[in-house]
Amino acid sequence: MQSEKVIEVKGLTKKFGNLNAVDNLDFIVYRRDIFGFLGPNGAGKSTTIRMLLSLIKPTAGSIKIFGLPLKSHRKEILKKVGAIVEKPDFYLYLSAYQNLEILGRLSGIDVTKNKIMEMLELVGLSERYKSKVKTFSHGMKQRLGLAQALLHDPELIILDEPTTGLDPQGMKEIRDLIIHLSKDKGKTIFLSSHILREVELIATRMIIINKGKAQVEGNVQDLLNSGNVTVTFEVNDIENAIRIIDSSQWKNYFKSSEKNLIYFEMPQNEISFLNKYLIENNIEVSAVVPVRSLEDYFLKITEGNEK
Amino acid sequence: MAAIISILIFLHCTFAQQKDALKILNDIKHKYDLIKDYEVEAEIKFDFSSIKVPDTKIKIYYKKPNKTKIQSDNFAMIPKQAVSFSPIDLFKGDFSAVFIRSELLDSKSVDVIKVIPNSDTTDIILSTLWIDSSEKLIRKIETVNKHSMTVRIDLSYNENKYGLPSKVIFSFGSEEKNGNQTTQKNLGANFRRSLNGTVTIIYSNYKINKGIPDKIFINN
Amino acid sequence: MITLIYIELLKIYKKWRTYIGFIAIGILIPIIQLALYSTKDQYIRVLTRGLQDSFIFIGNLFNGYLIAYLILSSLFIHIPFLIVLVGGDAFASEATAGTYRMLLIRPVSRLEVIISKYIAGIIYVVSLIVWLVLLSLIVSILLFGTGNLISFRGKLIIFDSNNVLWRFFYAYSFAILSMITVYSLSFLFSSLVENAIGPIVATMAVIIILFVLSTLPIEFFDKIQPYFFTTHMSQWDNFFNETVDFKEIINSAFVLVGYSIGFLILTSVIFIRKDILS
Repeated sequence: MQSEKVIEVKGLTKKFGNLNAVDNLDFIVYRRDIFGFLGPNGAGKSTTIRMLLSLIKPTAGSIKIFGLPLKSHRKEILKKVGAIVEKPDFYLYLSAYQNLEILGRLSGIDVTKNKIMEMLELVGLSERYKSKVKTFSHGMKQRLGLAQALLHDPELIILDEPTTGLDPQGMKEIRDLIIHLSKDKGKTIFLSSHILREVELIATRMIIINKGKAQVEGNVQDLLNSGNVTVTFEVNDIENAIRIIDSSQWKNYFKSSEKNLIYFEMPQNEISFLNKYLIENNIEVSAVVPVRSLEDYFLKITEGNEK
Repeated sequence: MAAIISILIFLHCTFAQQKDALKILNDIKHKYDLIKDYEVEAEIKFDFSSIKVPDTKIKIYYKKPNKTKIQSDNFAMIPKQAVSFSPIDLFKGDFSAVFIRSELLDSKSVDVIKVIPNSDTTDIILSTLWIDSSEKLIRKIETVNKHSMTVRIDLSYNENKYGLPSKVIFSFGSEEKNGNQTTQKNLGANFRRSLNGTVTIIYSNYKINKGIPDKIFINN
Repeated sequence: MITLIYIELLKIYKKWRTYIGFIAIGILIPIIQLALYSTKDQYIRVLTRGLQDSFIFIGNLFNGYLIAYLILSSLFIHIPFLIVLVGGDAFASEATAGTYRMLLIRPVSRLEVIISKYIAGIIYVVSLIVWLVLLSLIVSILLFGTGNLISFRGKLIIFDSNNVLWRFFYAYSFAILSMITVYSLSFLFSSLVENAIGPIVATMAVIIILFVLSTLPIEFFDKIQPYFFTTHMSQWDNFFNETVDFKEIINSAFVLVGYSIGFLILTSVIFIRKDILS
């Protein structure tokens, strides 16, 4: 199933002056992946996506899409790629319909009215097809962005932060749509985000990049469940609880405590057993908050970058 | 005594010349008086360095005493003397005429007469006429206007009954030399100065005293 | 390619800014026509002042041809303003609006995008001049009729009425070529930046500076004036000379074509390499 490589990036580097925006990046996206491309703001996600779409020329490295070098087969490749790069911008003085008509034609497809209306229906904009895009809210533009990315029925869909600026309902709709595209339509999806949670919810595989470099790459579930989890237990009787833990095998996982909180670092699948153990020893547990190490790590680099 | 005699001779000469000049002019005038009306086709050719005008064909109608009409399909630029061509204009109003001398012009004997308008409202300050007294035809006219521009008019005739010319050449010249400044302000002055060249008008198909209805001159 | 040109035309003609030029011409020309009509023969009288003493003028010198000629002379220097409004927008507006990201991720080459934008621009230039012709020549002829054309250039030239239209045809064609060169320059500037104001102002600045240098009667500039494209733009007027110096006009036309192609090639080289960061 995972044999066919849709995107293969090797040693991809982009320098802006002295700044290495993308630094020797390698990754592979397989057919039918929902590939999470994760990184804090400024990590080089957008630069990478722009290179995948030939908006920016790499300083070094190679990009193959559908097994073909992008440099020499740009047109062929782009025919089968749909994308949203950063925020969706349209010709504001044209209607939603006209924008899709233009972009569809540019993608080399026969744009029929039915096809365009079908797309607008899919993203819930069919009633506004005549309205100029300048009257659209950000959320509507975002949805129109999806429509233009899907219009020519591409095999690979590259989505750059597609849920930015949407309300929770809108976010969920987009997530559902992405899952539908992958599962039911067999599309390969490259999804960039700076929110781990978003990737975790829908991606099958992912890569985390920071400062232009790849940090972690692999299957989402494996990555998230690998390593220990930092768990916070909130208990009523902290002294008693520590005493009980100290006298058991659980003390190996104990990290620290403060007020009525006890911190453990432990495998995720053992959390419930610890919880049970504490309750059996008459300690009331009012909250258990696991923070996975990847999440913890991601939080740290995000905070670090923001500083 | 000698002085008195010479004064008498001078007075006599002046008197004789004055009378002569008027008589000659009157002979011409009488000839023109025979014309009640005429129509004629005229072809105008410009040869100026500073004006380029395409050749034009016009039709001129004249009816006594002073009705004129020019008919042209196209634009036409016509020397003023060519329309009210007839030196009749010269004989209107108050003027003084002086006989100067007789001389040969194109191997024909002509009388040279200077005509000076007595009023200062006319544009022309001096005209010199070369008149063939035997044929009663004006052979040549030279006028100087207020802008010290000289216009020489050479006239040729195919007939002498009415004294209407078959060909007239207007030669424009100016004593001042062409200035170099071409600012908008002295455009007119410069233009006048640079107005050197000839206009040739060839008249053909005279229809004289055939009667022209007055309505032709309406809207003129 | 046809599709691309169609799309670029759609972009040009769906934009309000495009019509500023048409509206400006549409307002200006009737005003000029009205003003000339109200002064009527005065203009002719001024022009022929030195001749009024000696000549009688017959016929319609104040006609559609003269008005069209006067309009072209007075507006020619200002039309570039209207051209750069669209030319300066060609690339910059897509950068500003972010639509590069939609446009350039399609299976079309950047060269195709450039060429189609360029051709669409030429069509705009032609349409603007045709609009000018329509209002200044056709409407003037309908209002004021035809006749001989009087023109003053050191000497007074009066063209026969059937010796005029071809001059207008060539003059307008040459005006189109000149305006294409202006468009090409603004096109180049537009590809360099991400905001349309820059290229509009820059192109006008270049044209104004060169126009001024083109007309300065200083010996030093005489030598370099032939290298300014603006010097050659005024050749349209040559068609209203008594004898049209075709050799000189063709030479100027080549210079303008050369500049236009040069600007286009430079635009292509720059734009194809450009990283789209907007």
